[in-house]
Amino acid sequence: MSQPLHKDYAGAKLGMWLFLFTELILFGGLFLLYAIYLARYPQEFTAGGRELNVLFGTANTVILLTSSLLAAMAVTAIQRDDRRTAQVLLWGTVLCASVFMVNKYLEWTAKIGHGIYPNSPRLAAGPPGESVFFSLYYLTTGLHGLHVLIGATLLTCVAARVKRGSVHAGDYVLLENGALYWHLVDLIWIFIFPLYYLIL
Amino acid sequence: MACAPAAVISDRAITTRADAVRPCEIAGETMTPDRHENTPHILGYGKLTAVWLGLLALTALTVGISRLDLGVNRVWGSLAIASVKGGLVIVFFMHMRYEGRLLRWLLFVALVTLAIFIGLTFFDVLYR
Repeated sequence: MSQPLHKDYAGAKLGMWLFLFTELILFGGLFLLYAIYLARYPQEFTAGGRELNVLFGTANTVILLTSSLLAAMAVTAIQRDDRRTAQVLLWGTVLCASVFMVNKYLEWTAKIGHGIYPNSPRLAAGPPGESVFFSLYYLTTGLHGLHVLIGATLLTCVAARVKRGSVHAGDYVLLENGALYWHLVDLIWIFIFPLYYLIL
Repeated sequence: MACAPAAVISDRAITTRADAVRPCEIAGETMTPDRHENTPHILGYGKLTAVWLGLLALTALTVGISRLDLGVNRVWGSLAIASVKGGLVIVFFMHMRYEGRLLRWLLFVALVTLAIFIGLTFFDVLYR
């Protein structure tokens, strides 16, 4: 009789965190590859890093940090039973995600326009370190971009549910877990930004 | 916040009080039952904004440092700043500060695992 009412919040959140840990290990592997190839090809990595646009990187960092703030505020709003504000904040997060992806599109288009893409004639003719750097760049930022798309889709669904009223002050673990996922996307970018755009 | 209030309330409506607090114990909740029954910790907008401003300041700092000629210290400095930023996101935005012992220990184990991966790989690669 008690089954339909039972909701295991602690379990739902624990499950989300366990998933986030696997994500950390996944991106950790990519950072490990980066570190090892940086040690092997320091000159080529420096040359490759100089090709990346710090302005795009910084703008996207600020955008993602802001989107994370909005997602965290949305959790606060729903806890205070302010569904309208929570909705607006979630849409703000999704808007930031869209701007991030537009920037990423412009950035990648410019790179591809310069003949820098995996297996391009320019990279194939250049030193191996250079093509390793750009392969890792496309793989890491591409996988991160995929996470941005998934996170934005997830938060859009959550916003729709907040509007419908199935996510509210008494039952908001979906919003909380969606926000956790979004913060992870932000967290990964916090490390991608200095590694690819700044230190080289 | 390991226990949202509704879970406890709905559990309490149908089971004994002892049952109602069990999910919190599983989550390693350290607060007294009286506190988490009605208060998931709510972070105010002001505090969240302060954390965001801190994150922006650290971003400006890390971009500024990257313009200086610091040699290999630039790498470690950037990583240190990124770790502080990541810490702020986990502790405040992801509410880790208000979670119980279980999640904290799991986070610790995950980070140690990552450190072992990276450390042992370098041990191999650098001395090959």
